[in-house]
Amino acid sequence: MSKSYTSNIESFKQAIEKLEYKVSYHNLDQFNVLGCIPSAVITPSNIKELSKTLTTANEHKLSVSPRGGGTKLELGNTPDSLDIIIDMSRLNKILNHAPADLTATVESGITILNLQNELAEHGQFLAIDPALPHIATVGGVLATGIAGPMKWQHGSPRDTVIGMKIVSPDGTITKSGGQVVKNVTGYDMSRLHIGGLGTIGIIAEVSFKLTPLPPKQLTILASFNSNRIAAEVALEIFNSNLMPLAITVFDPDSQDRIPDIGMNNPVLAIKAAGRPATIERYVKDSTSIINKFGSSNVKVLDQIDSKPLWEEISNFGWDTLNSEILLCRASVLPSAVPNLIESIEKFEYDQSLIGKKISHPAYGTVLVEWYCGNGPLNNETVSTILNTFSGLIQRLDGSLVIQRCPRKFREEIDVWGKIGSSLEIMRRLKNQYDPNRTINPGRFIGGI
Amino acid sequence: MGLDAPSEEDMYKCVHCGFCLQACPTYLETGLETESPRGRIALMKAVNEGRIGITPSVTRHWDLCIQCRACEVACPSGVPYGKLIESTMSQVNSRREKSWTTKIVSNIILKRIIPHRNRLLLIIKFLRLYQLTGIQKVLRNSGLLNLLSPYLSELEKSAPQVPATILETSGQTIRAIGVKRSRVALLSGCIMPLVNGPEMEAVIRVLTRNGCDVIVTQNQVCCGAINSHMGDLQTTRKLAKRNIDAFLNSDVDAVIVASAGCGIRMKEYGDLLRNDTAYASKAQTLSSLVKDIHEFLAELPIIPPKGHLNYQVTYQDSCHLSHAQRITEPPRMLLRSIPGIKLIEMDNPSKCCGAGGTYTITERDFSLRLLDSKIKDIDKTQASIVATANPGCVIQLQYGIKINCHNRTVKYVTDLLDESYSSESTV
Amino acid sequence: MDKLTSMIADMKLVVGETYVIHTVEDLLVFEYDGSADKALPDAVVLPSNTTEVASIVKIALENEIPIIARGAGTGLSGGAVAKGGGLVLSLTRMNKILEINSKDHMAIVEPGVVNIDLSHSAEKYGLYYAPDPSSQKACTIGGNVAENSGGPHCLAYGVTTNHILGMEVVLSDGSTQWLGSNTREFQGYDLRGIMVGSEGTLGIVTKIAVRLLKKPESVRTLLAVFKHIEQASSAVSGIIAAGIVPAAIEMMDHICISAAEAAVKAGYPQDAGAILLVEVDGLTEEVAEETEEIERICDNYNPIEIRKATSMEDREKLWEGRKGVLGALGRLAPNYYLVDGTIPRTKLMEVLSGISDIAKKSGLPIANLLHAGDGNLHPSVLYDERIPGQTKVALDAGAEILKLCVDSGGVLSGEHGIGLEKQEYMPLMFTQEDMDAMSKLKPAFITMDMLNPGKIFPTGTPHVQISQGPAVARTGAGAYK
Ligand SMILES: Cc1cc2nc3c(=O)[nH]c(=O)nc-3n(C[C@H](O)[C@H](O)[C@H](O)COP(=O)(O)OP(=O)(O)OC[C@H]3O[C@@H](n4cnc5c(N)ncnc54)[C@H](O)[C@@H]3O)c2cc1C
Ligand code: SF4
Ligand code: SF4
Repeated sequence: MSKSYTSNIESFKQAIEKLEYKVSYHNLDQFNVLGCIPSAVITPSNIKELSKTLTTANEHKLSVSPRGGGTKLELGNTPDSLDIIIDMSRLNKILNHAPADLTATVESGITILNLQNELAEHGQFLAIDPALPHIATVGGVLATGIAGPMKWQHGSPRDTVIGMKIVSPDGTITKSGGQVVKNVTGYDMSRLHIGGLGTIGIIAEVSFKLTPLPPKQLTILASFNSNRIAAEVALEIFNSNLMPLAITVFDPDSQDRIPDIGMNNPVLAIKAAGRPATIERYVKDSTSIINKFGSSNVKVLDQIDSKPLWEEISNFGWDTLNSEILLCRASVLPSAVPNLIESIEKFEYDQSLIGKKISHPAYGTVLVEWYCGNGPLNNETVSTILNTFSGLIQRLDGSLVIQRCPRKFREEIDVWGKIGSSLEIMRRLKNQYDPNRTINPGRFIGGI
Repeated sequence: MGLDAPSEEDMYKCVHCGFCLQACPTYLETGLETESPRGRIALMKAVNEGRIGITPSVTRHWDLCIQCRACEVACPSGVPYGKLIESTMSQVNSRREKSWTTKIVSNIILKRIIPHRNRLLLIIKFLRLYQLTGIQKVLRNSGLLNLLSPYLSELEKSAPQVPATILETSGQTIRAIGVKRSRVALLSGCIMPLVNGPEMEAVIRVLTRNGCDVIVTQNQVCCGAINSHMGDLQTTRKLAKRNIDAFLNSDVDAVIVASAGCGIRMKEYGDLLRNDTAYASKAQTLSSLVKDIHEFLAELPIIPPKGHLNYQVTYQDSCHLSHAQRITEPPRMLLRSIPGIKLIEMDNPSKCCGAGGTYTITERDFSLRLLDSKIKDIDKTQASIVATANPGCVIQLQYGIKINCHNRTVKYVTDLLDESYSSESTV
Repeated sequence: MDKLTSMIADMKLVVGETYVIHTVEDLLVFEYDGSADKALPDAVVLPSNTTEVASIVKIALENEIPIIARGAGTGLSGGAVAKGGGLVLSLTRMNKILEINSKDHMAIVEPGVVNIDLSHSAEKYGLYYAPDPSSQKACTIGGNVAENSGGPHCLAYGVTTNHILGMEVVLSDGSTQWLGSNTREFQGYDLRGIMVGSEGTLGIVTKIAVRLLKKPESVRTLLAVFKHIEQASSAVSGIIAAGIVPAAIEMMDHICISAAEAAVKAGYPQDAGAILLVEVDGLTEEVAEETEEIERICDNYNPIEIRKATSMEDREKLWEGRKGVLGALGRLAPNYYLVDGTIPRTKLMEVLSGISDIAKKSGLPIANLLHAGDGNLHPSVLYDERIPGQTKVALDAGAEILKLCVDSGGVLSGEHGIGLEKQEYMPLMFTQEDMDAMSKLKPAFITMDMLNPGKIFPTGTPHVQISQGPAVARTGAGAYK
């Protein structure tokens, strides 16, 4: 570490301390990002402090990483450098909730659960259901762009955001969008930040459009002889007149954390919502489609009974802190899902691997958590898995992101996979908004 | 600004919203705003504002307009495009150097022949002689026409077959069959009675079968549609006045018009002569008496024919019926009233076939391009009969079918009604 | 040869003689779009495929002439108007539907495809393209993408951006890129999301992958007629508060009602102060349950009448009136200035009464047409550009309405974009820093400010001056005899 670098850190600390911001130098390894340990953790209490912190860090040429709940720090490449963690946990207020307008504006450090609880009191919810909602923050969920199973009906997190306040790497506070549900005034800047892994600015405040809580909700479960058939049934539902909140296929056998639902074979879970007659129709039509595909093992759970199941589906892949997990997320066209699942199964069998899978066929998403049948994953298996898997996805014109990966294998790969020439535009974007590479350097696609 | 300048009031009703673009056959064919209703109106405005003159390149875009008036139907602002283009063309016509075809058409045919029944009759008789005697065959085989002008030979092929029967227009009254329900006058038209004698007789039979006394008014003349299409509003006014004099004397409940193009012309006499102190109100009266045959029969209502006709029929909306007169349902209703007829709708039934009055002569290329796409739509229906409501459309469609060697016939809706009625009596 | 002449010659080699337009008479018909703004381009070119677009872009770059992309020219903010001249690149010839993938509910289209044609083509698979601007019979999907257009049914199904999967674009340097993908998720920054709504300033869109939705099994349309516009507004709030999100809730005031009625005879009652058009779709049961509830809510506000469209024709008739109403305003006055602000739904009453004050003050009638369900207002100031000074009065009244919207917590534009029309009002909503942050996108897309320059961001010239260029003024005596 060069001398000037050390002195930068020191003078930064002095500057921050002079401002009397909350700063900590203890237990720093708990704040590591993929093994990189910061030199300080700053916890701003409002947007001004956040801005000043960034300005100061930028001036000192230090690198910064914002932290929400810390549930998805493993997503992305290893940082090129990391000096300061900005802990967003105190920016956790609901700034405005207008129930009659179905909109809310919040600070980005609020946890999803706290927000949902507040909204539920007014019979509303935010249509995203990510992993670990009691820890995950609004900012973190948006920056990673990873939503839960509900996205098929309501779209992705992108579709719920109507405005944002961003703090740029140099501390400038800018806003885009507004607090109304329909708006085309100026460029849609929030798009850059959702799924941008905080590499362009820090999301400080977010305005959302909300959805009324449905009067009634229930879950239809059915088991099938194979994942492939379960996925085909899911697509049949996708092609029917039904529009359930979620359609998910999983294998309870291999999912130790999924609550016992008394089914052993691959399961299709359909979350339906609406008024009584509508719900009845969902049950009737789903059952008849399920029967048509040869299953008679159908179960209906009410909202309360199904809650733990959907929580675990959302949490899939992210609920342990064991960083030795290899978690892949594939996105293909819906119709390709059954084949993809079958190919994965064949590959598992050939290689004596275990791939725990959850898929949302109507959205074209397949998540796989890989394990070695007999012991930990080794270098060779990981590269076979990744090569085979990415080859498979490529042939299907899909995309593959390695969401979690044992640290020792990270050196050789870009977890984001490859994209074409648009990477050049992305690099220029980073350069425009963060020329000093202050925030999360190296973590995004192509080492951005 | 003179009487025949396009009305500023009407022009500026256009808010350039573009809703008419997709209705316009020439825009659809070219994808060019210059060949669109909105573009044509913009040019009218620009001339009005003195930004450009009436130059040949501007005129070109107006010339290409078929005057099908599909844009008028699509326009939510109620821009009376038909009126605008008519007066624009009259401005154009009074100052331009014409191509030889246009000259022949406008100076000789339109001014000197069509208004005079005797001269027209002579020509038609010649045409018939030509077709019957085999001169046609000889000429065609010789390629002489081709040599003279490939254009002429093309055109010659689309000339209609001239039948033996010619409708008399001597003021005769044909009595209603059964209980009398109405007394009507019939516009015989200029070309219709000559080339469509049998069809006109069918119209009369259908009317009488529906309880109408039909008077084929004497001294009636061409309605003036073709003249106004070419921008000759003066001749049109002259003809209109003669018709007003002829028809208002005959004391009828309605003046029936079997050709859509003539129908709209006469329905708009009121507007045409609005500034003529002597004729303005008489013109209004006549216009309000004018009924399209389909409209009239549907309102009467028709006595349903009983003769079974085992045909699959597709119906082509004539522009001047569907767009200009907004009559789309009555002809279909009449077709459906015939037992055994199966009506199959083609794609885009209200898209112009390319006939457009003299358009098929003056803008041959374009007219044929539109015809081609129409024939393709007809083809998809598998129907054996194409029914329509205007002589121009009949001739154009017959030609399209002929050059594509299709085994189909083109008929007027009234022909089919007549056929059904007459097979009734033979049962 | 001057630059323009040589450029025209070069372009003719690419697209053919017919499709390069450069005479004054012909350029005249490209000086307008659906808005009040007008400006004459230097040339117009109509390429037929991506390769031709790329070649044209390169030629324009070499000649340093800016490019203004143009769809059907129905835009209401002057987006396709060549302010300061330039090359208009019209995409109307690129109008092929390249693929409809019924299994995956998606389609790939060229930008010149007319919105409604896509839905018509998808119909045989039981699918449709959800965003339905009132101009859908004329506007292009490319224009929709550029403006992020909405429509009545966007209340439940989202605006254009929610339905775009990916797109091919040609950048200013002539390079071609595919942004996003055909799948729902993709890697990297959401470039396609940035491109949607960028008003032709970042790239020329040459292909678009869109989502299609399943046609609903059942649809019911309700017409609720009220004596006063206040009752109609309260009914809207009531519906939203009850937790119902219908497919559409549209409102029209009495001026709109009479214009629409004159245009299409939709059967709207003439004595009403306001009508609501509410549509519910989905499963038969769902539709029945929701309609019943909506009727009950409307009943609370003393409607004169509630009518339900029972047949497809009735429904189409009711909608035809709504979709044609803007154009139909042309029956009342030769020009309208349509404002497009969005406000929080709860401020509806307040803002409507403010608008009526503005109307009184300006002396011009203002017709109110609202996507009431999402708070998107379309007050339209009726005027006659031929009366000296009236355009200014109308535009000023519009500006006041926009201020009112922003002051009520709303925004300048809900669906028509900023373009030329509202660029000077951007500072009402955004600081210089906000706008600088937006402008930084341009270098990232290497636009070199050659694509639709001088739009969206303020230039310091008042809008009235822009829209009242020489084009509108009568320049001569008129050539008609
Ligand atoms: C009567 C009427 C009703 C309307 N109703 C609605 C409505 O309900 N909702 C709504 O949202 N809008 C509405 N509009 C506005 C307008 O129709 C929309 O903005 C539409 O999307 C414009 O499409 P267009 O093809 O006409 O685009 P144009 O007007 O030609 O262009 C609009 C913008 O898009 C850019 N552009 C066009 N094509 C491309 C391309 N391929 N690549 C890059 N940039 C491109 C242009 O540069 C311009 O900035 C209405 C307009 C009218 C006249
Ligand atoms: S009359 Fe027909 S051809 Fe002429 S502009 Fe109108 S739609 Fe086009
Ligand atoms: S539809 Fe009517 S108002 Fe609109 S552009 Fe066409 S003619 Fe003008």
